[in-house]
Amino acid sequence: MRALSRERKKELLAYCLIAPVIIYLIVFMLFPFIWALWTSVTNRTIGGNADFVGIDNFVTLVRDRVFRQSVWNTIVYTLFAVLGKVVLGMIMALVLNAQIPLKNLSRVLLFIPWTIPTLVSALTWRWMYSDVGGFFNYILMSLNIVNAPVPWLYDPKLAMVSIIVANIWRGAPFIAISLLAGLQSIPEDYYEAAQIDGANAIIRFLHITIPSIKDVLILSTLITTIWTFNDFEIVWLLTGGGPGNATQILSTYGYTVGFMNLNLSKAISSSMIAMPFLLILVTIITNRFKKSEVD
Amino acid sequence: MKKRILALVLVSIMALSTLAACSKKDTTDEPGTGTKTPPAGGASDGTAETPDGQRELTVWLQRVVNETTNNMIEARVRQFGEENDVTINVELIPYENMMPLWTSGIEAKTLPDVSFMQYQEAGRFYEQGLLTDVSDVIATIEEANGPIIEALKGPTTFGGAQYAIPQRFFSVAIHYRTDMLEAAGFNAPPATWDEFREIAKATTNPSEGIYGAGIGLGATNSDAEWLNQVMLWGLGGAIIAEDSQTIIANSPETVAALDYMSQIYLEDGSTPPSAVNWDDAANNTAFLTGQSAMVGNAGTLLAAIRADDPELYDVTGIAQIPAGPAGFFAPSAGGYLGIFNQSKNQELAKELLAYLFDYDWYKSWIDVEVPSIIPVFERSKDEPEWQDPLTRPFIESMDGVTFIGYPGEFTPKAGEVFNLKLLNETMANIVVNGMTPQEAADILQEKVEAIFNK
Repeated sequence: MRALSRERKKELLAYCLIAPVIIYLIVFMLFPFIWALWTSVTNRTIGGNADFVGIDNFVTLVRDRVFRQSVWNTIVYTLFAVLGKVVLGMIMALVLNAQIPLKNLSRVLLFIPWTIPTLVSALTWRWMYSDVGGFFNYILMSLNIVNAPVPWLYDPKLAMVSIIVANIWRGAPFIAISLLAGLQSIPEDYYEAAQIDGANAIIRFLHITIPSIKDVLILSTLITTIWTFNDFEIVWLLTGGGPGNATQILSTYGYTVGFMNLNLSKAISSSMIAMPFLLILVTIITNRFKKSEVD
Repeated sequence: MKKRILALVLVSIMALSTLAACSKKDTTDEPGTGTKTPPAGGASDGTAETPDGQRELTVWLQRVVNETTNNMIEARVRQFGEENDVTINVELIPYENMMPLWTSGIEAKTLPDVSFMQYQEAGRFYEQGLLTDVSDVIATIEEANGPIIEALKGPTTFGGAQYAIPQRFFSVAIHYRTDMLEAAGFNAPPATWDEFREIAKATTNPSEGIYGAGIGLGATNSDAEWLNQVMLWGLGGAIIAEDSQTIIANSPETVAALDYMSQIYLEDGSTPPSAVNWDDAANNTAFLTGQSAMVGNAGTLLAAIRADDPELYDVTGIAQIPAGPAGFFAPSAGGYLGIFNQSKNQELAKELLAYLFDYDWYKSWIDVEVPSIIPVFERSKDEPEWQDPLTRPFIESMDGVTFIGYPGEFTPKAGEVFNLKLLNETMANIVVNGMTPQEAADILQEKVEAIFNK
């Protein structure tokens, strides 16, 4: 048997080293994805057989009023929650990057919402929003600002606002920590030079800070958009998608259809519909990373 | 090029080996069923025996609020294991968490040997061919303890055979505040839904945060679905007709009943604003905090008040669910025990079920939670625990117990309609989304027809 050349050995070793990743991708990504894709075009129920039904599930979904409402709610929820998280996260990062007293303590406190398990934070928010002994209503009624409890989670419009606020509270630290890292990499000289040239704080922010952290800002926003789009726990634990489907989003809709109604194929189809949008986001993120590597 | 091909082949072989290893379950096709049975047992790992050869049973039971009850039944199951040299895997699971677990279990074929279930699920599981005939166990139990209340066996009897054993029932009754009713000029609880509305309106005082009618809606709220269901029946409405097949969700009678029910929220304003999105615990909270003068609940609420709030207990009254023009209907939220036919230890599982119905132990277990839990034996009605004015309405309600599907028979399809909480959704469409009762009823009709046409 002819001995393998050194080059061949090196290549073989390289392929062996990447094999675990490829196996992982095939077993845990590609295979489940193909299975889900197949299931979405069948009439499979939990414990039932699967017969091919083409695009029936997608047609049913599009005709389903609750599904259409879920899509709209998901867009509203994602849009406003991400916007809120980016704005709040930016403010947090700027404050923590400045010379303030108790800076380290403030940073620790800032990250608490992100470190608490979602279950705990969601249940705490539920208590705070409650109409019976809830924190917000107690404060508002004690100060005579309102004379009856505010239905934070029970009025269709307020319920959406309430879950968005809870999501912003939980997700803003991620944006803040990402931006803070970016802010700390900006040389102080830039600001000093701009100040000498007469640039005020807003101009410095727009022309030095934002361009310097642009990549981090875009990446963290895209990542948090995907997370928010797929969020489940906060919504499910606070409102369960109610009242009257007012806060029903795609993830809670899919859970209800799949796990409560046992309609697996319809539940998977509802997730599949959102996939093109998420793939676009993932592609943008990947390209950004590639660009950063090239730079 | 050759190197690449070699590498790709290598990687593919490794990947396929992994896939094969992952899918290498020792399953066997059951002829004619198209389903696969795990190699042995219903235990979570699919084996009937532990590695040392001991027999094994996996049991899923309902976790209730009362820990004593939980501990007693868990200990009883373990005792069976010890006495019969069986390894026991017992889990107590809150009811609202069971559906996702069953769902996963069905898909992964990791269902337990024995499981708690309500009759709605039993119907669904029967339809999927997942349950074992337990008629022989019921016969054994009745021979020892006397008859089980006949009506309770009906919903899990299919084709003349019984597929789940009634274990305990959760009778719902109106809990009312005697002091609040008296302050509003009423000396007796409501006997009809008209009286209920009248008292609810009279006791409502939003400026003090008091609402007479502690009834609610909610996508996952089974208490509310039940109360809406019995109110609908009492008012002459129904979703499914007497033939158990025709859908009458948008019939004039049902639309009129929905209109009546929605007026409690919209016109009377006698429900707390939060009631439109309550979960199962919310009506308990409403009564315990004084937010609601009347709530419909199982005896768990009375038991909690008796244990923790003597002052409230003194001003709490219990009455049967109000009747409507069409009569008196009581919810039939019942717990059953069944055996999944994936179990490889079915005889052992049957022995365990009989063991759990030894009358002395069974009575001691039920007595801990009187009146939260209603026993299933006819003879229990005469037990001294059920003669108290605060407990009697619960067991008397069993006379009006009505099963899903009324006025037709209970069917798995009817169970599915209930499990989807479609009545709550319909009420929410009227109360929250501003639909007319007719519009909401038309949507309900469409959804129920879709279920029945599957």
